[in-house]
Amino acid sequence: MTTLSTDELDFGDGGPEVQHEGSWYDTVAKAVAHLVLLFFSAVMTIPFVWAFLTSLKPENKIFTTIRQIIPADPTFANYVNVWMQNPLDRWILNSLVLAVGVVFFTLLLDTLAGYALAKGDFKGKSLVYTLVIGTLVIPPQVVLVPLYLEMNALNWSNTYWAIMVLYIANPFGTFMMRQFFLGIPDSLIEAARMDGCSTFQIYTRVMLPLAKPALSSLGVFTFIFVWGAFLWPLVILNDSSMYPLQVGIGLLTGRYSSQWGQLLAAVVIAALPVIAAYLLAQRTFMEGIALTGGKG
Amino acid sequence: MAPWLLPLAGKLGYAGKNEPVVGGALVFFVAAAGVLYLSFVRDEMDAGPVMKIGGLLLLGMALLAFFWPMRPWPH
Repeated sequence: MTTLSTDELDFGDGGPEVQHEGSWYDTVAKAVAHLVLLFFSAVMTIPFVWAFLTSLKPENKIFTTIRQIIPADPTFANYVNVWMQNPLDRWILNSLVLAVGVVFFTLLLDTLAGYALAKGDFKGKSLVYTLVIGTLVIPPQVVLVPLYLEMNALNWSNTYWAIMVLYIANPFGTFMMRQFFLGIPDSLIEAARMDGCSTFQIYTRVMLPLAKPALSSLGVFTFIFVWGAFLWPLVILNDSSMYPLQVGIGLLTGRYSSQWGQLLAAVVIAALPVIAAYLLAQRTFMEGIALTGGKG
Repeated sequence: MAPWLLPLAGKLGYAGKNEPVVGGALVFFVAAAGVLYLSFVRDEMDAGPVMKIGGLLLLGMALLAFFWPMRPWPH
């Protein structure tokens, strides 16, 4: 009877050594990676923390105690003042109207377009796709004046629609949804077709439920983008009651003096919905980024 | 497109300082209808609590926008 054994074999033949988990090399590599991550996290977080802590200082002590990060006598007076002295509630409502409208219609139209471009079979598909991607390379500032004239011709300046129409159906979302739908196997569509589904039913009953993670991440991306939109609303709106929050905050700075405490309080208020949106959709947001290969 | 539609849309899309935000109410209502339909009617979506509560919240926002001048807090 023959016995198989590896006892006499010599594996230490000078080949490359595998670093096992738990070795000092692994520990040092992890420590360096964490230090780098902590450094960049701090670079991103410190301005926001500083803004929040400074918004808690009384207006007259902001510059005299600028080196003292944590306020000695924190107060919410800036928050009360900025809310009472400016139509902040109306600006927040305007921002919400724009963000909700753009997110809803973007998700609807981008999924339809993405589905058609990924799974559809029609003439000129690659041309349409090239045109969609082509619009991504045009800077928005280039078309600002023609768009302004166009909206004026429609008599839509100073309306919500002038802002919403511009941002709805963005090419980035179409591209993202197309990438997601490309990853879904055709056999699912064929099975649904054999069960008697029409193309639209396949979209609503099969594709849309499968696209939840991608929809979530696209929704958060779009919300953050529209919530922070500044230039176009500033150009097309001239009535303060129609300003979104960012434009309102931008115009709080005066030519000769500014209420910095109130400004920072308004900025902190403006940041809250974005943080809430991200936290609510965090899990599906990460899944969506992983599935579609998208990034912020 | 009907010629009367653009001016009507223009009127609906603007709201002065103490006027009902009709355009906003419309936007919230359409979004609420879409989200509530997907949450409560379409079982395939397997909607979680965030989506369901979000739809109801949007409906509340539609009412808030429509009754804006009578909003419950002063400023």
